Amino acid sequence: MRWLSPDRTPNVVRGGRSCPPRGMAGCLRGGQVCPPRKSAAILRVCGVLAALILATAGGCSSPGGDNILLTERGLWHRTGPVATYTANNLHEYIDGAAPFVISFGFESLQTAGYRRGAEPETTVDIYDMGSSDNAFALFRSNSNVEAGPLEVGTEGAGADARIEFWQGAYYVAVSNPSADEKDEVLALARDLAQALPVVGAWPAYLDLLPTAGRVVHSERFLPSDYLGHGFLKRAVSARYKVGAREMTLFACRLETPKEAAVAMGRLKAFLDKQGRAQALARGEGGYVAADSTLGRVAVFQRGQFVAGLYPYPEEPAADDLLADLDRRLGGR
Amino acid sequence: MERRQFLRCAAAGVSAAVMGSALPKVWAAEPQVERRNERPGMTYARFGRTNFMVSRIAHGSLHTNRERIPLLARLYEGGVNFFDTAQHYAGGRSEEAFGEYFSQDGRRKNVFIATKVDIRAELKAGRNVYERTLQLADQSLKRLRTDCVDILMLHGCTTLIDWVTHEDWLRACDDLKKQGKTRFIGISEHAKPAEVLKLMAECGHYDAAMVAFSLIRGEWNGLSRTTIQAMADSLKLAKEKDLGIVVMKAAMKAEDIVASVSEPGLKKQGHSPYQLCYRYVLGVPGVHAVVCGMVNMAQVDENLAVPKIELAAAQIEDLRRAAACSGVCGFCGACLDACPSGVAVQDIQRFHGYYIHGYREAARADYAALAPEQRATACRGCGRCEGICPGRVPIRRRLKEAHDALA
Repeated sequence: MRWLSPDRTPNVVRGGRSCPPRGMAGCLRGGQVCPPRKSAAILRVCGVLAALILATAGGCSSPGGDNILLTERGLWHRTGPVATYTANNLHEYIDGAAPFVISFGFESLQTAGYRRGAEPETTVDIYDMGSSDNAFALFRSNSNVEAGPLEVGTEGAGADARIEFWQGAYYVAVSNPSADEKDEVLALARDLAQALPVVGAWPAYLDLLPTAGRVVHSERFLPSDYLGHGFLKRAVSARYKVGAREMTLFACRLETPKEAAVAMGRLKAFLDKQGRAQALARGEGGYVAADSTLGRVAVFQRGQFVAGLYPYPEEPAADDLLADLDRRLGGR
Repeated sequence: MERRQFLRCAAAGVSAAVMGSALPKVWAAEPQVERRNERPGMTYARFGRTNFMVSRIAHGSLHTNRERIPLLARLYEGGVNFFDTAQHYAGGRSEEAFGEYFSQDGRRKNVFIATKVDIRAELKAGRNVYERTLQLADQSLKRLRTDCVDILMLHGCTTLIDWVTHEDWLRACDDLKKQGKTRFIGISEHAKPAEVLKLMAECGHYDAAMVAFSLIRGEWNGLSRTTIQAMADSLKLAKEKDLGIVVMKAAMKAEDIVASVSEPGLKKQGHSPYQLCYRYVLGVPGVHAVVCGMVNMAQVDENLAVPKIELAAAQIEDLRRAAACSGVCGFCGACLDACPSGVAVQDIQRFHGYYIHGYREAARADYAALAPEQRATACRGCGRCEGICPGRVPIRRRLKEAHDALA
């Protein structure tokens, strides 16, 4: 995801986040947001001081030196300074894709180039997403669909052009500039994963989804605008195989049961335009309605959740899925 | 019929009679336009030499995925026929969503689909450009579930000036056309749209361009966002060469602009800031469509209404004036002699722009070359410059930011 043109070099210090407390996972971004440089000499002094601090106490690093994007990583040498971006200037690095990444809770990005001998340069992008919930969500919505699974990080995938993985609060992309370098780039990615803190494991929201029949890697989390509706927020979803059919189960978590009831009503009003909804004996105010794109949609409310299934085949197996989902939501 | 129009028709008639069959073909026949999914609520424009009659609102699908497919349905039913995506939008999930929706019920033949390949790494490395373009195009077609896209673009987020006429890229495009995998080619460009568009028009290989500009220059990526005024010459040239032009990022800082409009009619009509800015850009000569990123039904409904909005001349002028006062430096020069301390206000903002744009060393060198009394540290905070600035730029704060970056 390195979209800088040849005539552009990244800034060393961008954005304005303060350094998190020592020992916190966010310390990755460390001293990258130290005050602006007065001169190269001051920079050097800062580097030495930070190195001393790191050596003695562990903690935040200095501009140009970081506890993850070190100057040396195995056989790889960093080719330049580490650049840091925040939500305010992420556009400068990934431009039009920035709003998409930001919508998943993006906090900061650190990026640097690495080279191994005379081989082409690879780029490491480490996105601090603030939580493993967000890192997982971005990974599942942004990683290359052509990529196959790789054993790196909590979950990784690789295609010919790059390797991506998420771990803890971080979503990481490592470019693969040459087919000859594939194994070495994977080794670099694994090395980075080892250095990254692991905070929690899989997002707790995945526990809302029944496990039987779930299609592997189909789980998603969308922070907003699920099914294109502004009122359907924080949607966790997955696809399920029921016999020969495939269907999608979802649960949106609203702030309060009252807000969930409003969302139920608005969705019903939207679907009613395409045909009269019928009652569904599930949850609070459940109904089944037809949608021109999704097919029949079964929807119900359980507390602060709006949940459902599409296309709804009105088969016992589909009802079992809904019942399982309802039971899980009820326990929340 | 107005007198001028009558005279023009009469002159054309006389010319035709005199020249008879010698009349050039291009004059003799109207181009055969291609119409798809036209519906009463939407308006359409001929998209340059492609002869597509595209909806003036195009869907930008950066945020589109399987979970938001109902949006595509709403747009389609609203008469939108121009859908834009890219190989790497949501890791390819945007193209997948297009494939899933448009491959059903014969919808594919009712829309124009543009996608983009990202070969910047290959262009930068100077190798594998041809092979990678073909490979990525094939992957896109597979995800889109179609044999052919209507427009294939080179995806640009930074300046592509050096690559507009790249031999291997153009050769790959020619071959993809011959293989029937794309009908037309283009470039999308954020950073230097005016320069890139000019080169595209001059080189003659391209059919369409997606360019980023708006009423004002964006604050982020300061120098690289272009204003309408800066695009005028390039748009004129593009029109002469009959390129299709679709504008992205057209509603930059829409809320700020519309907050400072004074023309009462603009607010009374109840249009949103985004609607007004999109509508303004649609009125710029040479612009055929605007591409809007939409993530929910409310945004879709809002944007579907844009082409039918009527803006009076006074309202257009008011929007232009409001944009000029929106706190973004337009380098007009009003502040040049304003500072009693002699701070080089405009130069410092320009250097800061260079810095933001990535020319860090040059920016720092330029700043270092200023005499101490011209640098931001000499500012006494009197605010005289801000009183003079027609753009209402918060100059004192900007000077401090510039100094922090450049010193």
